[in-house]
Amino acid sequence: MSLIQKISSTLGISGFKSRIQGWVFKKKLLKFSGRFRWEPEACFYCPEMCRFACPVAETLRDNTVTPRGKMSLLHLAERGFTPESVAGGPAQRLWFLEQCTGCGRCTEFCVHENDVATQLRQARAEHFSRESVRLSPAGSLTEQVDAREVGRSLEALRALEGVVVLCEPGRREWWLARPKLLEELGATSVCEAWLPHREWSWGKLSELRIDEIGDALSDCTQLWVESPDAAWFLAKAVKEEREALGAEVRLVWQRFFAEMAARELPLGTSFHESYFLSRLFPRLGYSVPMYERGLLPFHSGWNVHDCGGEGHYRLAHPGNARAIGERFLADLVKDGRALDKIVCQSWSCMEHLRGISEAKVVYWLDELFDGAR
Amino acid sequence: MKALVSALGNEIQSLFPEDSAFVADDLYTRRVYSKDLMPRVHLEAREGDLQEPSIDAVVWPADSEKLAKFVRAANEKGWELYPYGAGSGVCGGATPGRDQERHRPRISVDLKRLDKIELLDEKSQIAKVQGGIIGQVLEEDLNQRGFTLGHFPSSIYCSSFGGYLATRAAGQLSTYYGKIEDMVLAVEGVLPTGEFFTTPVAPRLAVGPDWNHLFLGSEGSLAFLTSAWVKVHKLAENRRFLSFVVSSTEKALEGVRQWMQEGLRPAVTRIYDEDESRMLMGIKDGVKLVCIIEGEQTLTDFTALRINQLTMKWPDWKDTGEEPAQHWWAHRYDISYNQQLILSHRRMILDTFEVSTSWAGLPSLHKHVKLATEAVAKRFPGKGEMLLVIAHFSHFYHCGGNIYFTLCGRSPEDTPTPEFYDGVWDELLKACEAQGAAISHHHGIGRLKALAYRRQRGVLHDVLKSFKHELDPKNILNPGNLGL
Repeated sequence: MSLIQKISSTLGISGFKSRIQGWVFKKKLLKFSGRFRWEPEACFYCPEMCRFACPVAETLRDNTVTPRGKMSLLHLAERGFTPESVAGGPAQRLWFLEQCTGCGRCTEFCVHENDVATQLRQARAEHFSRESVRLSPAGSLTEQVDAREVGRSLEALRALEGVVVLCEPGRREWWLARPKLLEELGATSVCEAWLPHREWSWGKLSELRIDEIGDALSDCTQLWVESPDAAWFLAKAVKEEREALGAEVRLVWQRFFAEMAARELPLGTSFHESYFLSRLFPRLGYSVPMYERGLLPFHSGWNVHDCGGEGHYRLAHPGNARAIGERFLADLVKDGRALDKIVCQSWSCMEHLRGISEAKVVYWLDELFDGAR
Repeated sequence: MKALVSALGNEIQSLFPEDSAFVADDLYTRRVYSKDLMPRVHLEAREGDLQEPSIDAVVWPADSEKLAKFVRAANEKGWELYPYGAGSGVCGGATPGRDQERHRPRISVDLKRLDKIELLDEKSQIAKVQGGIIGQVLEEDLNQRGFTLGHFPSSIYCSSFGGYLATRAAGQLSTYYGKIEDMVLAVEGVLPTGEFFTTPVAPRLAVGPDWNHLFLGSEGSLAFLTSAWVKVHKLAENRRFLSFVVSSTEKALEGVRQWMQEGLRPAVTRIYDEDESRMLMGIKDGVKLVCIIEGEQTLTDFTALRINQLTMKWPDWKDTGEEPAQHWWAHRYDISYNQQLILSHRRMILDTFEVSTSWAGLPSLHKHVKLATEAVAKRFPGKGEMLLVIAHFSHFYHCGGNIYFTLCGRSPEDTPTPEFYDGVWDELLKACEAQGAAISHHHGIGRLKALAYRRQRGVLHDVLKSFKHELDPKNILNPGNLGL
C-alpha cells in the first residue's frame, strides 16, 4: 500500500461519495469497536462549526459555553483530569454544563452526527449522581432515573407508585426543600427522570420504548411534571394511547397558572417563555406587549418555545435568542416599562438572562412556591 | 453568573459596576481563552498535561465606549490586552505566545458583544458592521434584507467579522466579490491609549496614505477594530457550475491564467493538484478543476459561455459537467471538519499553509514547498517519521494566485510532536521564502510565522515596530504578535 493510500485509508475517505460520509463511517466503526467514545474527543478538536447553532453561545457570546466549550469538559474528564484541575471544582464545572437549553440544535447541526445534546444531558445527570454537591441527603422520597435506559432505570420507574413528581435531573433538592408543596400536591415520591420526549418529538423513539415507559409507570395514580413537553409526552404518547395506564398526568404549571391568575402581576414582570406568551397568557387575560405587537420572531403552536426550550427545531434557532436578548428586553425598557423581573421556566435560560439583563431573574417554581419551603 | 476569584477580576469589575457580566477570571474561562485553533495548541493539549492558562481574565465589553474606557484603564495600569473574536485563528494570533515573558496581567478582550449591523445604506450598498458578529449571522442578516457581503470563508460558522479585518481574510468566492480589503471602505476602532479613531469613509480618496491598509491585517497589534463600513451586493441572481479534469496542474494553471487575464471573474475557481485529486477525489489521471460563476444573469451566462469556448479548444481539458462543482458547493465548508481523526492520534500533525505568488512563480513554488518534505525527512531521521503535502489553488488574480497546502504527518518516535511540528513549519516557510512568495495568503501571521515575517520584511518590520511604539508606547496590545 502506498503512503498516499495509507493516509487516504486513515482519513477514511476512499471509496465514499463525500468526505463527510467517510468520516461518519469511520466514526461509527470506531464507536463499534469500542475504541473510544467519539463525541467529546471529536468536539475537542473540532473547529466548532456548531457555535452559530447554539442559542446559549449566541446569547452570552462566551467561548466557554459553546457546544465545544462544554464538550471539552467531558473530554478532559475522560482523560482523567479532575474538575478541580480543569475548572476549579465540581460546582464550577457544573455551571458550564448547565449553560444548555437542551434545544438539540447542536446535535442536528453536527456534520459528524454527534449527539452533543444528549452527551451534555448525561453529563449533567452524572454530575448530580457522582459529585458531592447535593444540598440534602437522598431520602426515601428520591429516585434518580434515566428513563431511556431499559433495565435498571425502568425497574426504578416500575417501583414508583401513587402520586409522583417527575422532575428534571438536578432539581430534586429544590423539591425536597419544599415539603409543604409536596404535601399540597400529595406527592409520595420525587423522581429525577429524563423522559425521552425530545427523541419522541423527533420521531426517534420506538413504540416499544414508549410502551415500556408507559407500563413502568402504570402503578402511579398521578404524575406531576414541570415541563409541557414532558406532560405532552406522558399524556399523549403514554397515557391516552395506552388505556392500561392508570396514571393521571398533571402539570405543575397548571397550579402556576391558577395561582398567577389570582395574582396581580407587578408592573415590569416578564415571562421568558413563549408558551406563556402565546397560549396561556391571553387565555388568562394577561396583556403581553411583545406578543400583541407581533414582535416575537416566530409563530405560536402547541410546542412553541423561545430561544431554545426543547421544542421545534426552527423555533430553537439562535436568532431567536438574539432577538429575545436584543429586541424583547430592550423594547420593554425603551417603552418606559422598566423590566423589574423575568420569570424563567428553564434553569439555563435563567442563567443566560442573568447575564444579559439587569432585571431580577427568577426560576418560575421559586416565583410561585417560595412560600412552600 | 461566574463568580470572580481574583483581585484582578474584582478590580476590573469595579470599573463597570453596572455590567455584572463584564469580566470572568475562573479557571475554565481562562483555560478556554488561552487557546485558539492553532493546531500546535491541540498537539500540546493532546500529548501533555494540562497547562497553566496563559490568560488571567476575560472581559466582554458591550459597546465601544465600554471598550475604550477599559482600554484606557488597562493602558494606565499596564495590563496586556489580547483582542479575541471567535477564536478560530490558526496562527496563534489571539493568545500569548508559549515562551512569552509573563510579568504583567494578561486580559483577553472578547469582542463578540459588538455584533450589530449599525447601518445599511441600500442605495449606496454600504453596511456598517460591528466586529464581533459571527460571519454566518452577518450573512443571514444581510440576506434577509436582500444583500450579501460575499465573504464566505470555510470557517464562516465559527469566525467573526473583526477577525476577517484583523487577518486580511479571504472568502471562497473572492475572485468575484473580492477579499476583505477590497470590501472595506473604512474602519473604526479604539487605539491602545483608549482613543477612538475612524478612517475616512469614501469610495476612493487621495488624501495621503491609505489608513485602512495599516489596520487591516494588523492582527490586534495596533488597535481594536470595532466596526467597518463595507460594500455589500444584491443577492446573486444566477449561479453556474462548471467542472473539468485537466491533464496536469500546470496546464490547468495556464488555462485559468488566460481567462483571468482576459477579464473573466468566476466567483470560484479551484484546481486540485495531482495528489489531492487522487486522494480526495479518486482521479487517477489529471487534476480536478471546479468553477462557479455567480452574479447577474447575463454576466454569468456570458462568463460561462466564454470559459466553455476557451476550454473546448484546449485538448488537455475535459468537461465533466456540473455535478462535481455542485458537489463542492454543497460541501464547501466541510474541509474544516476533517481534522479530528488525525489530531486525536498521538504523534500525528495536520495543518494548512496558504501562500501566493505570480503566475510565473506558481509552478516552482508548488514544486519546492512540496519538496520540503525531503528536508523534513533529513532533519528528523528517526523511525516512523512521515509527512505528506497536498495542495490546491483556490484564489486567482490578474497577476497570479495562491496555493493552499495541506500537510499531514507523524513525528518520529524519538521526537516530541510539537518539536516536529515546529521543524516542519520551519522547512516549509524557508522553502516558500526561497521562492520569494508571500508566506500567507489569508490566514495571517500570528505567532506561528512571526519569525519568517520578520526575516522577509527586514527593515520594514523595524518601521512597523516603531509605528506600533507610537500607537502603543507601553506595548499593551497583543505583545509579541507579528513579532512586534
